This record gives sequence, C-alpha cells and structure tokens, in this order.
Amino acid sequence: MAQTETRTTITQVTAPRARRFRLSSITPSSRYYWLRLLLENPAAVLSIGFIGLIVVLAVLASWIAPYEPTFVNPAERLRPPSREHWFGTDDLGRDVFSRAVYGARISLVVGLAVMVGSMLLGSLIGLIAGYYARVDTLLMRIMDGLEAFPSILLAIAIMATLGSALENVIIALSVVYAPNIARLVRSTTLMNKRQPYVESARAIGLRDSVILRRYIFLNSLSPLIVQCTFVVAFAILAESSLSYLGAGVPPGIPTWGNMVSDGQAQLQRAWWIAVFPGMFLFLTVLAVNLLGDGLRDALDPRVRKR
Amino acid sequence: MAHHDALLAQMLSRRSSRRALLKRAAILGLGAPALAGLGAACRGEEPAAPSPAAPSASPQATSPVAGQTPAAGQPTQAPTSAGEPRRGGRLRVATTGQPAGLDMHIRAQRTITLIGWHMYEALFTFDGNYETVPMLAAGYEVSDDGLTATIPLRRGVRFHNGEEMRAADVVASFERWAEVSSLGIAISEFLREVVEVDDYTVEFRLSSPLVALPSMLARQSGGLSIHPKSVLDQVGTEPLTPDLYIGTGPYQLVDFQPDRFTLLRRFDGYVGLDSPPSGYAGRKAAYLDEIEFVPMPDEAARVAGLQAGDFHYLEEIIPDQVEAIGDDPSLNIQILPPRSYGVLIMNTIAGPMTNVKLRQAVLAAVDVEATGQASHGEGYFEPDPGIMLPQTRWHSTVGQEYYDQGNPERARQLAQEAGYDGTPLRILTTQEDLGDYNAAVVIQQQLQQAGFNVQLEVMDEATLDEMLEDDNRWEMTTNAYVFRPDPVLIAAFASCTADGGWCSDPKVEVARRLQTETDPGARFTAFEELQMLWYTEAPAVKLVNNLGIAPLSAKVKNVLETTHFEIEPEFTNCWLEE
Amino acid sequence: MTAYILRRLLLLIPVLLVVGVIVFTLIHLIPGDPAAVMLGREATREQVEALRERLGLNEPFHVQFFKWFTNVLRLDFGNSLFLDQPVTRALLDRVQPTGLLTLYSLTLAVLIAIPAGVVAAVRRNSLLDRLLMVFSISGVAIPNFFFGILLILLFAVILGWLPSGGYVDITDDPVEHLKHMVMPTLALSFSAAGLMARLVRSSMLDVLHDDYVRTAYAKGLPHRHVILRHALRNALIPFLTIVGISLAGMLGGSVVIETVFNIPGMGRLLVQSVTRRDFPVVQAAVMVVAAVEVLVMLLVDILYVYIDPRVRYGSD
Repeated sequence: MAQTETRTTITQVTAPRARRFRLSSITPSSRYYWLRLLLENPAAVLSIGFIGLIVVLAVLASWIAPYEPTFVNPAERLRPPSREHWFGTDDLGRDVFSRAVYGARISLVVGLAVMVGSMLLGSLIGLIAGYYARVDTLLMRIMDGLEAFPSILLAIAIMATLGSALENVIIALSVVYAPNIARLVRSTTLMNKRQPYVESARAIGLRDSVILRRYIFLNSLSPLIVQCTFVVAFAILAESSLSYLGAGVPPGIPTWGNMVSDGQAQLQRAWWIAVFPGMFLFLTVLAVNLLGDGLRDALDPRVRKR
Repeated sequence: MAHHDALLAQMLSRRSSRRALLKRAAILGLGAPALAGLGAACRGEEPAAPSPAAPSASPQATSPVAGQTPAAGQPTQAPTSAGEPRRGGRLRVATTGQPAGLDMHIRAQRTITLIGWHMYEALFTFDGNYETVPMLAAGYEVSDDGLTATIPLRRGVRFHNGEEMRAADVVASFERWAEVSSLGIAISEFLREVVEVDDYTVEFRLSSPLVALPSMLARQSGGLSIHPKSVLDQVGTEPLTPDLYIGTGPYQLVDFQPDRFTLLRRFDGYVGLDSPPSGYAGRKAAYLDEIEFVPMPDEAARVAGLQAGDFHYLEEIIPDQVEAIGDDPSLNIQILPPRSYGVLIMNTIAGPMTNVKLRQAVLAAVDVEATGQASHGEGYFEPDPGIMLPQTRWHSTVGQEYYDQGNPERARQLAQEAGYDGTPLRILTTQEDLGDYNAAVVIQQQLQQAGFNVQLEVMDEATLDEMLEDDNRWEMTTNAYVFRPDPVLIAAFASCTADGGWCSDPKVEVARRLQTETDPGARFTAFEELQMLWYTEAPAVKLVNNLGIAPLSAKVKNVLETTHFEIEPEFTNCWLEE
Repeated sequence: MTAYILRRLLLLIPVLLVVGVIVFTLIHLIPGDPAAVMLGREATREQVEALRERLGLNEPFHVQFFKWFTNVLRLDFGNSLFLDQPVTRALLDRVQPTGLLTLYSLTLAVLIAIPAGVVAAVRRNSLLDRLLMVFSISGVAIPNFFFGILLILLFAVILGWLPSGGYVDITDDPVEHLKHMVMPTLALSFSAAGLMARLVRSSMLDVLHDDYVRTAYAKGLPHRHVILRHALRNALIPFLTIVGISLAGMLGGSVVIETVFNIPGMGRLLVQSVTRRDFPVVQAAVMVVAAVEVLVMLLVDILYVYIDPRVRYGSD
C-alpha cells in the first residue's frame, strides 16, 4: 500500500495466475515434488537461508542484543558505529544494533500476524461468498468498497481511531489486505464447489462447515500460500510508511519500519540510524519476494512443465 | 527612542544591563561562548563550566560545526558590515505546516504569528530590550488611581484598503479580540469599558489596576492585531476570510493558497515609525518586494530546501540538523537566546498528581540535563531554574535548590510519604513535536528508575489536545512554554485554566498582585514568590531553556541585527543580496 | 456493450455507499476535535464549543451522516472545516499535481517495465534476467519515502541539479514544472515499474510457450518479429489490468510521495485533513479517489474488448 500499490502488487502477481492453479494436479505422489523444485532454485535457497537467519535473530534477540533496545542514554546520542555500538546510536542514545535485532522480532510479528489476520478474515469471507450465492453479492460489494478505499488512508483512519498500538497496526493492515485474499479464495471456492468430490461430500450429508474446511479450503491453500508471502513483505513495508505518516507502531517499540522513518530526518547527520534497519528491511522484503516467486514457480504446474 | 520614554519609565523596573548586553552581544555576532559565559557568570554559576551554548568551543563537541556558531564563521555581522540595502527580490520561507487561515484573534499558532505580523500591527510592541513600546499607539498614560488608561494613536496610518486607522477601528478590533482570544478574555476580567474618546484616542476604563495592560495588548502570539472596523463588521466573531486579511503592516496579502503558499507584497502606503529598528519596534523599511511562505511539513526536505537554495529561512530546524549541514558558506545559521523552555506539566485537578508530595517526588526525580540532551542536543540548551527566560528582566534563580535534583532516592522517599501505591502514571505526548516527545521518553525512564510505574502514551496532536481536555485521562504531559516578556502573559501563571489547572490560594493571590501592583519592585517580589510556589507546589517541572536557532541563507542581510526571533522574526529591515 | 457499461456504472453506487459508510464512521470515531485543532491549544473551552456548534458537529451522528450523504448525491461535498472554502474547490485545486504526477509516473513505469520484462523473459535465467528481477523487486523493497529522501540528497543537495521539492503549475512555467516533477516521478514509478516488469516477464513466458508462438516460429518468422508482433501483443493483455490497477494504486502512493516532495496534491491533502480532523475533505477526497479507481477498472475492462477479440461481454 504505502509502497505505491500494495494491493496492485498482490493482485497483479497472482490474480492472473489464480485461475491457472490446478490443485488436483498436486497428487500425493508429487507431494514433495514442489519442494525439490524449490530447492533447485538458487534464489529461493538463498532467500530461505536469509529468512532463517532473521528468524534466529528474532528468536534469540534478548541474547544477541548487547543493550536493552529501549534503554535511553542521552549522553551517548548520535554516536557513529564503533566497537561499543556496532550500528551507532540514535537521537536518544539507544543502541541501533540492539534495536535492529529486536526490530527483527517485531517486524516479523507484524508481517506474520497481518498475514494470519488477513488470511483468516479474507478466507472466511471468500469461502462464504463463494459457497453461499445468496450473500455473495453483498459481501463482495463490501470488499469492493474496501478495495476502492485508498488503502493507506484506510490504515491511517483505522490507526487514528484505535490509537497507536502494535495490535492496532496489525488489525488495520489485516483489514487492508483481507479483500484481496477474499477475492482469491472466492474464485477458488467457486471453482472447487463444482468438483465431483464436493458434490459427493454433500451427497453423503457432510455438514457445510466440514466441506468448506476439508474439501474447499484445503484445496485453495497453495495459491493462498504464495499470496501470503507477499502479504508478509508488504505488511513489513506498509508499517514503515504508516510510521512515516505518523500513524504507526508506538515510537518507542523498535520495528525496522519506524526506525527507518524516524531516522530519515537524521539522514544527513547520522545516516546509520536509518540505513542499518533499512538494510534489514530491504533484504528481508527482497528475500520474502524471491521466496514467493520461487514457491509460485514450484507450485504452478504450468511453470513446472517447462 | 526618546518619545517612548514616558512609557519606558513606567514599564521599566530594574533594567538589567546584563540582559541588554546579552541580547546585543548576540546581535553583534559575538561568540556564543562569550555569551553563555556571561549568562553563567551572572547567574552565579562557575564560569569555567563547559557552556552548553557553545558547541564550537565546548570540549565535548567533536563534530565539525565550527562554522555554524556565530563565533567563527561570520566574524563581521555588525550592522555596518551588512553593506548597502538592496531593494527588491522575493524572500522564501519554509513553514512547518499550513495554518488554518491568518486570523490572529481567533487562532494563536506559531506559523500565523510568523506570517501575520508582517501584515498586521499592534498598539504596542517589544523593543530590543524586550520593553513594551508603542507601535500604532503614540504613547500610554495611566490615571493616578490606575483605573483609566489613555492610549493616543498615531495619525495618518493607512490600512491596506486605503482607510485611515482611527480609534473606532481599535475599539472594534479590541472588542472582537476580547471575546475570542485567551489574552483578551483575561483582560476582560479587569475591564469596565473601552471608549473611543476622539478619532485618535482610546480609553480603557478598568475595574482594578492592570499594570501589564500594554504588554497584554502588544505584538505576540494571539495578540491584538488592529483591523479596519468596516472589515470586522462583516465577520463578527467568525474567522476572517483571505480577502479580509487587511492590516496596517508593511506587507499586504496578495495570494493565499492553502497547502501551497502565502504570498505577501510590499504595501506602498505603509506609514511607520522613524526611530531606528530595535527588536520588533521602530522603523520597518520594506526592502523586499515579496515574502513567500511555503508549508513544508517534512523536516529533512525542509532542510534540504535551505541547502539547495530554494528557501532563505526555515521556521524551524532540529538542532541535530544544524550539525549535519556542516559549514556551508551559503548558509548563516545562528544560535540565539532561548526562545522557549520545556516543562513536564502535571494534572493538579484530578488523579494521583493532586497530591503535592507526589508531585514533589516527580520534581525530585527529574534530571534536566538528560532531557535537554535528548530533546535538543548538546549545545542547544541551557539548564536554568528561572521560569522567565534570562533575556527578560524577570529572570530569577529563586527556588533553584529544587531545580534539576536528579535524585531518585529522595523521589522514592517522597513518593512513599505521599502513599504512592504503584498506580500507573500516564505521560501523554505527541511525536509531532520531537523535542516534547524525546523529553517524555527520558523522563519516563528517570521516573521508572525512581520506582514509579509510568506509561508513555503517544498520540497525534489532535488526539492529545482532546485527551488533555479530560482531567481523568492523564497524569503528566510534556510541553514547552514559549518566550513571553512578562509573566502575566503566560497562561499557566496568570490563570487557573491552563493545562494542568494549577490553582491554589497562594498562587491566585500572587498572580493577582502581579497583575495589579503598580510598583515595579513589588511586582518583581510577587513574581519571585510565584517562582517559589512553582517549586514548592510543583505543578510542573521546569526542564531546560531551548536556545533559538535562526536557519538563514547567507543571502539575507541585516536580519539578525534588526529583529527578535523569540516571537518569530520580521523580515522588514532586511534585504536579499543578489 | 452499452448495457454492460450501464450495469457497471450502476454498480458504482453500492460501492460508493459502502465507502461512504466506512469513511464517515471511521473519521467520526477518531478522537480529536476539529474545532480544537483549528483553534489551537490556547483556545478556551467556550471558543471550541461555539465553533463546534457553528460547524454542526454537535448534531447526532446519524443526522450528520444523512445530511452529508444526501448532499453528496447532489455532488455537494460541503465546506472544508479547516480551509474555509468549499471542498469541491479545494479538491479541484489539487487535481492537477496529483493527476500529472500519476500520469508521468505511469508512463515512465510502462516505458521501463516493457523492455525490461521482455528482455528478461527472452533471456530467461540468464544473469541479465536475474539482475533485472532483483532490481525490480528492489523497487518494492525500499520504502518510497526513504528513496525520495535519497533522491533529494543526491540531486538537490549534492549535485544541485533539481529543486528539492514544491510544485510549479504547468501553465505558469512548463520547464520549471517538469524540473519539479522529475524526482517525485522517479520515486513514485520505481516500485510500480518493478512490479510491472515482473508481470510482463511472467506473461511473456506464458505466451512464449503457447501454440501460436510455436507456430510462428515453425513458419520461419524471424525471432524479433515473433517476439514483438505475436508474443508481446498477447502478453500485454493481462498487463493492461495491471496498468489500470497501478494507476489507481499510484493515487495511494502519492500520499507519501507528495508529503516528501511537498507537492500540494490530493494525497497530501488527504493525510493533512486526517490530522486536521477536516471531516468533509477526507470524506469527499476518499469518495472521489474510490470513484476514480472504480472507473479506471471499468475502462480497462472495456478496453479488453478492443484488444482481445476473444473477450465478449454477454450476460456474465
């Protein structure tokens, strides 16, 4: 979103492809075939490696970071990178390296939580809209409305209403990305619900909730997974733009996004405040995107044929 | 300034030669070190202590900023060196945001103050020594009982619409202003009526003496600007619309495009004073053809615009940026006397902070040095116990034993005596003001170290304003009190309704004396009592004085010599070099 | 076809209703009082209360909503609380910067994306392909406000070639206008160009394996001819959708870019109006942007018919 067009991106990378997924073609025999394909892709392997490293940083943050990320020490402010402060200190004398390490944790939490949130919300709406024709129009019109809403503004308005808090950023961004997921899931649901196995499940009297969960949702998973990687990347970035516009995570909590946005004003004076977390942000988003591309290639049977 | 003597004699209590010197030193471009040393010496501190006002000379400043201070880079800023005035050109100023219209009566806001006082003028203004002197008025006389104030007006002064300014315009302006501005409302409590005696004389009839009346009517943020009665009759207390922004000032509005620019052009019919420029007083020779104000909310982009030569002056600059710019010969960045000081305001109306002991505990816990470093950076602040800034004649160090204690043990003990049970205390702040925000972060940590349970709540400015209205939503907030030449002009001192609602019987009594005592000595005594109450009742914690910074292009000549920056500069005697 | 367009236009109404309800509810839930924002911190409570009354902010929520929406249907968006002018005028004043910025950025993005995408697809898995793709993802991975500041530091502060920000009306001085637009255009098109290039690449890859391309090669047509005439043309069909979505998305991106470069456009007006709690402006601007987005998508769908003969709009 804040990046020119989050939504654009998501739709464009996957939407034209969504209809091409032939889920039935992922037969049990080829269950791990996609994984092998993925691991043959050097870019994807590098990305997995890098993401793994970031996850380790995030999990072990409290052991790795040499300082408390929120410890303020005005006497030591704006120090350039040195042996004591590998990435220097910021305008409150906080250690940029420690903040970047903790930032990994919170940025990943934002990315993953938004992914889960928008997936749950979007899938639920998409499944219902696709399965029950009666509410389809109503739900999809609401989704149209949400999508037509300038997304960054939707997030700003939600943030302004709920107040500055980590949970609220997650809620705001989940709402922003949900319509996309909903559209995707709805289209796969429409496709799947006419499949013979769904017909037979209904014939033997399984409840709708079971059919939806077991037969329809599970078969929508692989395009959804690809979509989700992009949501993670965009959520991490969008959080940064929200911080820049003053509507992000509370400023004391370190995330790469708000470190970059706080540091940009100091770029001429103390480049290290923005540049180091910016590198983390950049490389992680790059890696997640490359992984997403790799996953899509591996999961898409048409690409596989080549 | 001979013709101001009558007024000066009345207003002037004990003219401080030190402060006069302080200001003049800054104007003449004497080194900041000399300046600060002077300040320190006069406050009875060790002169040898590293001076916070001197980044270039202080040992702890290692960054290459030598050229930035008045000391090194431009040794010859004396008026004589500015060369011959050049007429013409457009001065471009980057402001921090777009003001909601330029109606000074209704809106007191920094950017409006900056733009507005080029177009409008007040009855009185402040001269180079921060003394109140006439501008549109021609003098000031008070009856012996102090209940009648007569203000003769200058003749032949023209509004931008060609009308001559007369007493009727002043009365109409005052009546509107008295209804809608906080200063005006404060005056109303003392006022019986305002009378137009003749075309060029206005009389204020008071119910009790109000010695600070000229200061309250003077040029300041939200001050009484004089507008034509014919214009005010059209709007009543509704905001003026851009076609009605008409004053008597040396510049008039030609184009007002919200979010794009505000363009002023020289008013050829301006009738001003002949006395030499001094602070906001005296002659206003409009050398510049036009002045353009452009809203630039992004801090980094604003500074880049100054460096790239797109702007000649920035309304605001973060001190850290000054260091970043380095010694760029095309810029002229001056460190000036303080223009505000930081405060941690406590809610004395509701909640745990109504307990004086607890407030004293907070006062004891705060180490102001760290807040200054965090919010302004080394070299751009000075610790000072005075609650009136040092360039005013009100400066005092009474109560300094309570200032800057930084004593967590004592704080802990006081909190225990207060019966503090670990209730969370909320500090509200907004990141829209970085200085206030950074100070709040540091204070939170200091209070936590003293055993308080403190929550920092960060919100946008509009939300903050609404939360502060509700006495049950907050315990503390950070803010800055901007420069005012007289203590009665600071709402928190003069009234009970400012943020925090500081209101005790002794305070009310002292404030009353400050407003009504005619003897300057007695007023100063009252003020010192007020400052002592400030430290014993602890309605707020004074942090540090924030030095002013003038981010100017080197092309702008003769501006530092002729205007103050505390209540925003006036570009009326300066010119642009080719 | 006409019936289809009419039906789509009718669909605009429920979408706008949904947008209207969302924006109206959200903005009125936001704490912060427009009257207090306008008057500043030194205002007295009485002043704020008087202004609230005058602005009609003291009426019940549903009354305010009903009044507003019936007016919107008559294209009357009311008056800006903050700017003291009709919302319609405030918006019209800001259409040109945003419109032109979007147009330039979109053009630049397309000009970069098509060659880059085609080359990457034709040289699939080559070093060039990989470099182009990493570069295009980079566009998405750098926060664009950060990229914008880097551009300002380089071109305005260090090199001094371009103005650091601001806007000059195209009718006042076209040369200065273009100079002011160079950096914002670069910043806004970078991420879009990357996304488009990736899409061109993948749809080129799709069509390169399609039968008619193979047939074209089989007929012995030259490589260049096949790529440009047959493959690219077909690959551009899904691309059109993306151009449409990008155009709409750039309106969102302009929110940030206009703040960085101090361009007085719709995006900046929107953000500022939220901080100013200028309800009528936020509501109107959101409605307008939403309507533009919906209309652009409609236009794209109609264009399909002309480009892709296989698509016919029947009863859907």
